[in-house]
Amino acid sequence: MIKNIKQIILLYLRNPAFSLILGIYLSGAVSSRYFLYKRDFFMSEEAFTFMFLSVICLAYIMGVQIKRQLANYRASLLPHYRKRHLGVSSLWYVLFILFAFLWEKSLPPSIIFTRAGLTGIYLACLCVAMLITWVGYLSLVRVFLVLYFAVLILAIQSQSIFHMIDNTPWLNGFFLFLSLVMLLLFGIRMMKLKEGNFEYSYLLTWPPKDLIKSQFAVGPQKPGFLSVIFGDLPAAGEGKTKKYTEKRSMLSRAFHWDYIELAELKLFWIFLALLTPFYLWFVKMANELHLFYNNTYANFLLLSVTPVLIVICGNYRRIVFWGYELLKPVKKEPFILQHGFAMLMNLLLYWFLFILFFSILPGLVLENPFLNELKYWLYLFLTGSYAFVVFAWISYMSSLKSTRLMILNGLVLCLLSLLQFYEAANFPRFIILTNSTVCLLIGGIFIQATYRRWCRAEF
Amino acid sequence: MADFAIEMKNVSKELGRKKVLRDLSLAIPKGSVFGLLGKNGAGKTTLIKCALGLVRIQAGGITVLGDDPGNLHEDTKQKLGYVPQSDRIYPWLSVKQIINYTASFYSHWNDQLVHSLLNDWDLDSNDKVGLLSEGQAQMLMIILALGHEPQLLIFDEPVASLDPAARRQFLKTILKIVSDRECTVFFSTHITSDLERVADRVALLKDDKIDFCGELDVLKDEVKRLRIVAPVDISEELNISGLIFCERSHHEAIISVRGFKPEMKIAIEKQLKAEIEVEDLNLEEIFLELNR
Amino acid sequence: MKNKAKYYFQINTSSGVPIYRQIIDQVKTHIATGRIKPDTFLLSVRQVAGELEINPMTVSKAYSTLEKEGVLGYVRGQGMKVKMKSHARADLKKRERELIPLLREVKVKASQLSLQPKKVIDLLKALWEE
Repeated sequence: MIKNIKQIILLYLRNPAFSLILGIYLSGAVSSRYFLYKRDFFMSEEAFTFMFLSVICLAYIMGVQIKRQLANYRASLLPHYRKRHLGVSSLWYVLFILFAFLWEKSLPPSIIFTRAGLTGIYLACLCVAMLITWVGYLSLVRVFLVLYFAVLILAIQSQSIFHMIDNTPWLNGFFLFLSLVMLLLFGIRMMKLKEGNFEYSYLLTWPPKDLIKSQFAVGPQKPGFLSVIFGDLPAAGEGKTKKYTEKRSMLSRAFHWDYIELAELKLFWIFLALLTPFYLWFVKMANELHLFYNNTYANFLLLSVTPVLIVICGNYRRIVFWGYELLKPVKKEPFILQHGFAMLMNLLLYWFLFILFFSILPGLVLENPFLNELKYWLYLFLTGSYAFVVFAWISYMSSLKSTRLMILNGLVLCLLSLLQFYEAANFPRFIILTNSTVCLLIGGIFIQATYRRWCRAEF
Repeated sequence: MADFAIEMKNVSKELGRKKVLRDLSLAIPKGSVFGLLGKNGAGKTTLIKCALGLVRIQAGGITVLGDDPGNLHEDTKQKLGYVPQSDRIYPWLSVKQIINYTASFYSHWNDQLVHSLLNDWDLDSNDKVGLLSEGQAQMLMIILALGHEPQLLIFDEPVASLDPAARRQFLKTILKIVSDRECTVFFSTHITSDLERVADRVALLKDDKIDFCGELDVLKDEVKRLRIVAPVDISEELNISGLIFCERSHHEAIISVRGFKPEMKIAIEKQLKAEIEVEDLNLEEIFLELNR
Repeated sequence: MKNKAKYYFQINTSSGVPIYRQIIDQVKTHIATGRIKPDTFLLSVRQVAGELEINPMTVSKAYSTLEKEGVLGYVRGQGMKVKMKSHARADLKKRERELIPLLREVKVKASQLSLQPKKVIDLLKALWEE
């Protein structure tokens, strides 16, 4: 039995992603304490951010791992399999929390993190991660991705969250209770998971080789689950569309490639609309967060980067079929152009949804004076044009072959995003407008380069 | 009950709106090498998954080694080995690591057998699982299912992605296991020549039901093709029980029948004053005839 | 000492004739032609199955059928022993029936080559006396 548990623990450690992020977590914790020891509070806090963010990633990876371990036949046929795997996963998470406790011990009172706050947040992160992996289904993935990124963005405001949670014991208790109940439900479900269950085959997978395999194993994307909830939604794209060859305009051809996305988009609208009352209530109630939602300048990454990631993640699943689709009687150049166009349309729609639900609506409800200022609207425009750059840049990176170039590009992009996040709001209106224009220009150049590269690419 | 490794009684299974298995009964005697035949989409994989309790069934009862597959006892799991059609396993582990991992679940593990199989199949134990080819991955899965020397081995299309040499090696291994110790082997396939070599019993799955179930030799004895040449016009009057397929002109007919007996030939000969040639069919031909 | 027949069967797994029957036929044929002598032991079930890569149950089915027919006899601890010389004891009718399919083929071939029955019988006789 001990040998068995050792092997299961090794299963995690041998996973490169898990061990890498575990390393970041540990080094974040150690360096944070080190800087604290050196009385360098600023660096200590930065190091803590690493520790905090890496736990979110770890939670996510663990969610994927648990699903991966339990959504297969071995879970039913190997002796003691489920109990021990779930046991080891819990063990890992308990270790993380214990470690955080140790880390927190004898912290000077000037630092506001507490055990309760840490535990609550850690568990909440785990729950979100579980949900994402559990219902790793096409469209729902993206819905939960939004939630997930929201948590990630909130993490930047971690201080205020901790502060809020510490000061409102019932909220902390509520979080803790909710998390434990969800984890328990998750555990029970995982103990009994069978192949007939709807969530069995929808597993968020990485890397692509695996993804392609799983797509072929699952078969073509099934609209069945959607239609269960929303009647004939997916059929709207399928039944009424004309054949590709009968379509004349670029727009309708782009829609042709995109009809699944559209069904999802509708779902997304509905979901967000259902969610809005809850989070506005939450925003009104939580004074600290008030600032965050009411101050659009704090939401830069949420408004600009998240929609891009959602669009790219969606398309990433489809790109593996491009080579196959190109065997159909379509020309490569218009094919790529239409796909790019479809993605851009989606980006526009998602971005619009984000500024509506995460900035304009809260602004209206919380009576934000910014709404009357031109700068606010220019800033919103900047988030859109920056989203365009990020989209163009990531698309360009997808056509790069050299890993080094890709990492370099990624680093520059990250730094640029942070710079925009911290500095963009501090400038006057004119500079913001110039900033947007430059962004749109650069984006255009990248799109052009990407288009050319993909036209020359081998599938 | 103790005489059957797997026993299915009146099992029904639906996938969505489609009935895959309807009121199906099947018993696999202990110690047999049992082949499950059926066209693509006949429901072979579903049947196997039902038998293992990997999916829930809508009606009926199943026992596996005397246990309920929906809720297998840990001791029963020790005696089970299963290789699915395709599998995704942790790609970042090496062959050796995945073997150690799997071995750690079982109370008994035959290292020697595993090593000799790795040798036979030229699998390098330091290779990463993610880099193995489809066929190699299947070999590895087979090895993992054999390591704990189970009493019941279940394979779903075990040889589908193996080359002929590896396929032969696989059959040889299976035969060695069956002749060395008490072991039941149940596998689905559509490669009939493999089945003919190793199986002693077969079942044919057709239209969500078992069409034939029994000894392979009996099947071969029972399904025959008859070539009838008669002096009279026989294009109308052929009344033969168990007729599967018939092709005829005025004086000649080629018919395939099931439930054939030598007496049948004599009877028809007398009835039509015809000359009859009986043609033996191999499993592939039988498969094609029965699926007409 | 045990006198093992070093004879291996040749089977065709994808023929329409069941494998056990192929084995039975070959044992009988080789007893008749004298390749397998009386009182020799046949290879064990496991050896035959291993060599031919077929299911041991099939071999043991063939052996037990032969045993029932009186061709082989089981000697405890030693295996299957060839009991009789040929088909001497099987009744005449049965033996005749076995030959008929072959003769029918001869008949068909002969009429294709437009050979008279008498000529065929002569040829057969000549073969016999070779």
